[in-house]
Amino acid sequence: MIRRQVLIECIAALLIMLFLYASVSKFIDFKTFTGEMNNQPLPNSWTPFLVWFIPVSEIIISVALMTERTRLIGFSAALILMSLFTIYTAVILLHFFSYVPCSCGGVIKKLTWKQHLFFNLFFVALSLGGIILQRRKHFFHYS
Amino acid sequence: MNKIKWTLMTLAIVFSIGGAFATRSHPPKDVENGLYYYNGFGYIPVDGNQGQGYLCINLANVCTYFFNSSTQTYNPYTVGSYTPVGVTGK
Repeated sequence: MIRRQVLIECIAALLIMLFLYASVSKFIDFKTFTGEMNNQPLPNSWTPFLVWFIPVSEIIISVALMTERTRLIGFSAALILMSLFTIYTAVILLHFFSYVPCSCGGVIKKLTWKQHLFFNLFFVALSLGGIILQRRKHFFHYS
Repeated sequence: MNKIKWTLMTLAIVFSIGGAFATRSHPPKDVENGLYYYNGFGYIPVDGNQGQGYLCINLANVCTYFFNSSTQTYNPYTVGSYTPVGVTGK
């Protein structure tokens, strides 16, 4: 029971680190982030929405992961967001778009698209693990 | 358990925010004077902003350069291949 709780805390902490790092990096260099977003093969009309939606969602997910009451929602939202990033990365790698943009974002920008895919898949697996452990904990707690 | 939890959370917050500031890129001052691309013969000022006038695609080559006023040379700034927006069909 305690071991499971420690594991949940570690998974939550890793996801918080990822999302907070990513969102703060975007906000402290917002102009570059906007340019990088325009550089993506998505319509530029989406940029004003995406440049706010992505970092704000990352902060909200981080906050949700901090407290016990909202953690399951946090893990689920993390799974959705990381799955969307993973699908986008896979689509880029499959040359679905007319060009392959540079991969961007803080230290993570040093990764190639293939490395990005594995990086994202790791965090998808972590989020999924978090949901399973958190659900089991609730199940045993209430049964 | 609460002590472990809050220690982990505090460390996660400190490392992520600290890490974001520590790894923040500091563009050289000369970048403000404009960016250039190399067309095989010389350095030409880029057309507008990234994503609007031009794109940096793929990970090979140097996409844009800035003019280093102290060394009087053009130094690499962003990675990719310089591509005017119209070429990609975006």
